[in-house]
Amino acid sequence: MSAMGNARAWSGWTLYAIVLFVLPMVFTDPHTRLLLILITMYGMLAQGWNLTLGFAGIFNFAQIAFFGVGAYTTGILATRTGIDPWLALPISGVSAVLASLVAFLPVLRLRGIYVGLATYVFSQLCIYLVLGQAGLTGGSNGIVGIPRLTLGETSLRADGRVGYYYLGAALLFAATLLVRLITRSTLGLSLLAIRDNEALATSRGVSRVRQHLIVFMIGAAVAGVAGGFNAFLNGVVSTDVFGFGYLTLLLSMIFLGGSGSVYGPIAGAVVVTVVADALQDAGAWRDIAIAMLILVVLWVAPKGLAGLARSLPVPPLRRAGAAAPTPTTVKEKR
Amino acid sequence: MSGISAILTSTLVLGGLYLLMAAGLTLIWSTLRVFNFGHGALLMFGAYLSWTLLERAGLPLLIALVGGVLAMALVGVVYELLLVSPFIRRPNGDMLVMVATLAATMLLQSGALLLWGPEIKQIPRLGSARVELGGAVAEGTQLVTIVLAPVLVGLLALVLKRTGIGLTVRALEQNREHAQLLGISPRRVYLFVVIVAIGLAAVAGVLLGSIRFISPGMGDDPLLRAFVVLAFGGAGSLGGTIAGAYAIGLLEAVTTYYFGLSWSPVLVFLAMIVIMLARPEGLLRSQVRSA
Repeated sequence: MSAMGNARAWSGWTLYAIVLFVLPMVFTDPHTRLLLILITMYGMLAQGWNLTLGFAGIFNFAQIAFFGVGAYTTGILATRTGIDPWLALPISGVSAVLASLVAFLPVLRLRGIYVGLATYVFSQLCIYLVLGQAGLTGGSNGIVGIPRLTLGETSLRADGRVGYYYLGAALLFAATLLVRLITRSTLGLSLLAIRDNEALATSRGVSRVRQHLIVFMIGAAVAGVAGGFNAFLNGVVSTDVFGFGYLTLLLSMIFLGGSGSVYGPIAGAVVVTVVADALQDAGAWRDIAIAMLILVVLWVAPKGLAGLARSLPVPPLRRAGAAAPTPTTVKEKR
Repeated sequence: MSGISAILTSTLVLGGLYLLMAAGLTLIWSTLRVFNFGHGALLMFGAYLSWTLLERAGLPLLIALVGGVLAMALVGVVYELLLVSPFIRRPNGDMLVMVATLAATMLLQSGALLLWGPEIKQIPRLGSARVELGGAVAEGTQLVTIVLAPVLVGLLALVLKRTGIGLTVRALEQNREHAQLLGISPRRVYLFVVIVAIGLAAVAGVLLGSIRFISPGMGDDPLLRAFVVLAFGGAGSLGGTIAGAYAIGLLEAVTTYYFGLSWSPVLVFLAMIVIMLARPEGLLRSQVRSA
């Protein structure tokens, strides 16, 4: 990477951090703060899912299950054990990774659409297991009374949940950085190679199972931590976390933003969260609007916002740094 | 023994319902090479349409039910034009269709909620026939399901085997390029396939709406079971689907009888995952037809 490209990348990341830092100071009312928190959580989830769905091209519909497993892990740990609540977050990531090992079993021998069926069934299986183990999970009542996270003496809920916002923002920043590093690494390149020409990639010594397993586990870890975050934020966990609502919401974010793009899902998370909130009182119309959003994006711009941004005329500034691989070039090499 | 005969009735009813669902999914899968996630929602919509024709328009039972199924065939035309054909030729088209039909599910379920409200509805019992066999009783809609499902799917098999359109469907299944060289238009065949599949799902919806209730989420469970049937019988073969549907019906009836309603789906899904690991091409298929 050229020195100039390096400088551009650094300034981009610094700007991203500054924006995330300043946002809650601009928007101070509790409702907008909550929206910001949801955006960080959805952004994190959408990016984690995009690793498998977008970059690796695996029909992974179990991501919601990993989110749910994370949420339930935090819920159970925080209400039934005396564990430090902060430890529950990383442990939720670990338990989601363990779940992903089970969900990965069908991926070993199946391809394409069959993986979609098996992973979707896996997430339904999680619902039945949670309902069946009512002693541990509260069954259909869910888990209530999850204690809030505190930092020293201050609750993260204080001052319009600003603590939760900064936790979410830090996690989102970390997730973005992680996705960015992966897409630049040999792992990321080999995933694209497998997705676009599996026979050739395998013949060059790339192991499909190993690379897919790694990215599956990383994506699950991100979702698990996000699930734990969600449990602390709401104070309750129910089987909704495995539900259709989250699934379609996240899919609309990924495809609106652009599957297979690093930053697209964040843009998608912003737009969809705001739209969904604006239609909060519209009942079933809200779901209709989100479904139509998915369909229109698929019809009109199958590469999403990221694809539209790429097709804009190149500004002069960009051309000057053209030697540096921009995040989009990885995708354009297909 | 009443236990065994109760299981038998349950197997035939469940198997018939899953057969109607899975046969359509298999047909779409083998010709279009895409998966219709919206099949459960279409089942639900068919049930609501028939209910409306029956209760609101006051039509006689048989006419209302047939009308509902025919109306769903029209919905099938729109479905194919909007959700399948725009994506099927694009790179990564199978994932796009999967996501599009998932969005369609959301659209249909929310639409049903708006049109018909949240209170559950029911289609009255179909007929008053009653057959008693070794202590087990099958009556009304159950009896209709036991007979109608295999008859309809048998008819479909016959159409595929004997008629001109059936021949073109099979030609496209086996080799798309060669079929096109012979002057077969894929679009016409796709439309036929989608209409037939959705029609069968609508029949399943009517039957299920009479055996149980009609609600916006009524199609979710049958869709999941149809997944399992596909895994079991191998997607893309009608014979495998028929055997798979009744095998899953039997498995569900037995596990429900001995382990209860909450454990039965877990065991059924576990069986599916094990089968997929051991025989990815489907338990009942000896060879995989090349795509």
